[in-house]
Amino acid sequence: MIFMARGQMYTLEALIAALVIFGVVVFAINHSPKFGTETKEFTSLQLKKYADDILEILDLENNAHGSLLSEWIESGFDSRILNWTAIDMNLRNNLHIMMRVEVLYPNGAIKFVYGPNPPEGAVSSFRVVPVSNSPYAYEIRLYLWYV
Amino acid sequence: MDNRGQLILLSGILIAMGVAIVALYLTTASISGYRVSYSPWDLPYYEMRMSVYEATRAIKYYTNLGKPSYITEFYQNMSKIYAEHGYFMIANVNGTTPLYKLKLEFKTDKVYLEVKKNVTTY
Repeated sequence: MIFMARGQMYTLEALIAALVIFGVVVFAINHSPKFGTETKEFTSLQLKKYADDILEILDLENNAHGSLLSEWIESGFDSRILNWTAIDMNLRNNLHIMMRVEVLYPNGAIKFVYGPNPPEGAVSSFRVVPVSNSPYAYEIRLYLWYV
Repeated sequence: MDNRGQLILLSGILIAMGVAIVALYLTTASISGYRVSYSPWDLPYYEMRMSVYEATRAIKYYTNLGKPSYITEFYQNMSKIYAEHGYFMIANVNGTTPLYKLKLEFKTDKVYLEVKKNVTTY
């Protein structure tokens, strides 16, 4: 009888220990910061959405069916028409996002650049913009990444 | 006999714990990551929408300038740019002012989109 009582105590002890360990593991998983696949992918999607939206707004069609982007290219990248520095400062100060914008010829040659080289993992979006003096389709490529 | 019973019980508990932890891990990390990340990247909805918008806009833009001959070359350049980003995009246009017929094909390894659209130039 004495041995059996001790056995029951051992079992109970093991059960309690297991519950405690399980509780700690569950607590740790729930409260650990999630820097796994989920967060990284979500961040990239969020940046892609920002980049898409910025370009879409800048490329809204005007009365002549052009846009701010096409006017800016035609003007020889006049910062009075489109000021990338202001957009850059807004993104950096309010959303902690860095940016780089490139204007490219259809053959891929770069015509205009603003901003530092994007790091690996930066997200990009692009628009194809017409200009009045040539049938060239200019590509505006915008890279975004978190600081 | 008594000791063996305890070992069986303990091992049962340990196995149950292991299964529970694995299930919990899979639920919190992998599956939600898959749900958040997989499908939106797979469908380039922005690029599809923009290709139609840009092709339509080009017709209006160049006819408004009196240079409708630029449209076809613009589309060829557009195709090059989309190809550089991994998308097959071809646009053709037929017609004359004020009505053009646009046909646009957009293809990736998982998506095929064909748009036929009448575009007025005003």
